[in-house]
Amino acid sequence: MKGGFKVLIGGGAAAMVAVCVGLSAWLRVREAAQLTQPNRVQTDGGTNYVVQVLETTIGRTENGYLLLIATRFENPNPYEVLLRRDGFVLLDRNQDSYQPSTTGTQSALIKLPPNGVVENETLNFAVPEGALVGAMELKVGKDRSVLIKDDKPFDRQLNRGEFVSFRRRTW
Amino acid sequence: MWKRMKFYAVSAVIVALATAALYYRFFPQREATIRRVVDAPAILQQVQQLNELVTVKYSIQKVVGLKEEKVPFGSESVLLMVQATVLGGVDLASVGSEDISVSADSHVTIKLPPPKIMHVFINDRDTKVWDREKTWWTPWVGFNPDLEQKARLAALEAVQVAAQEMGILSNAQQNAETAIRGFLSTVGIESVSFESGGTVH
Repeated sequence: MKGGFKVLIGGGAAAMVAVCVGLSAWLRVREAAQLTQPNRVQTDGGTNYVVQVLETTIGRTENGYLLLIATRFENPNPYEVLLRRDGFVLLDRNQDSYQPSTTGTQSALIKLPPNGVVENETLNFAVPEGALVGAMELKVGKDRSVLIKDDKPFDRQLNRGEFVSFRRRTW
Repeated sequence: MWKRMKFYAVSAVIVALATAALYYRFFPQREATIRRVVDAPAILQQVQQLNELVTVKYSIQKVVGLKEEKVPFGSESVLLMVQATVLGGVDLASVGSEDISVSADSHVTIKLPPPKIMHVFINDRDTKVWDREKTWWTPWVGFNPDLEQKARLAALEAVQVAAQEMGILSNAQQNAETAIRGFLSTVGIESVSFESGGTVH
């Protein structure tokens, strides 16, 4: 009876741990799905395209942070669509805006082939430390934004040259 | 006693084999199914005319670490020692006849486009993977074959930002003006000034 009770307690504890781990895993998968859901948007001229945020990567530079947002674009139109990279503006909690880099590795135009897909197009932003204290969103089209980061301040200490990538909004 | 131990040992082996079989059934080695064509011809994708005046080159060494957080649990990280080259200059393709004016006293004023980073590239020979690891308690998570490439892209961006913070753009501007001034002096034009972003040099 005593041994049976111990087994019961042990089994109950193991089941509790399994449920907690399972729930936590389910929440994380759900968070990832929320971040990566496709967004059908329009250009100012009314052309449709689909943007999907795949992942965000934050890294420390000499004077601030570098935010790399990996995206996937889909063009449902039978013609080529050209999107201005500087139209994808990052907004912080104070509605300060940051333009993506359009020099060096980043071309000024993002070309979407007819009925095609552009996998893993990265939008790069140099942001000051103060921008990471609250929510951040990426403007992906006319009157449409995607929440990139939630309200929780980013308080992880990163060294210069250290990057961390996330597939969720909670950093 | 021995019978019981034998029973436990045999049971443990059976459970281990069953677990291994289930693991390989549900997490197959994807790499094994990838077929790569190695004799494909090179394809010319784009031809672009360049009128770039590259005037400065920075060689930057940087250590970049990238940690990828997996969904739902675990992480994988890579540490790269990167040697990269950043080239800065001005794009002369955007200079038109309206950007060049000659006054009555033969003074030439040229409106130059703003300097920019022309190219950033990693020198593969001097770039090394220093360390690579993943969380030990997530053995079901495979190594991401793209992680090193992601780290290289992050390194390129970090190097580009570092070059800008070191003043590559102002160097590029000054060197472009010096180069153009030198070229014009060989054809007898000594008095030259430059306009850029509302300022005259």
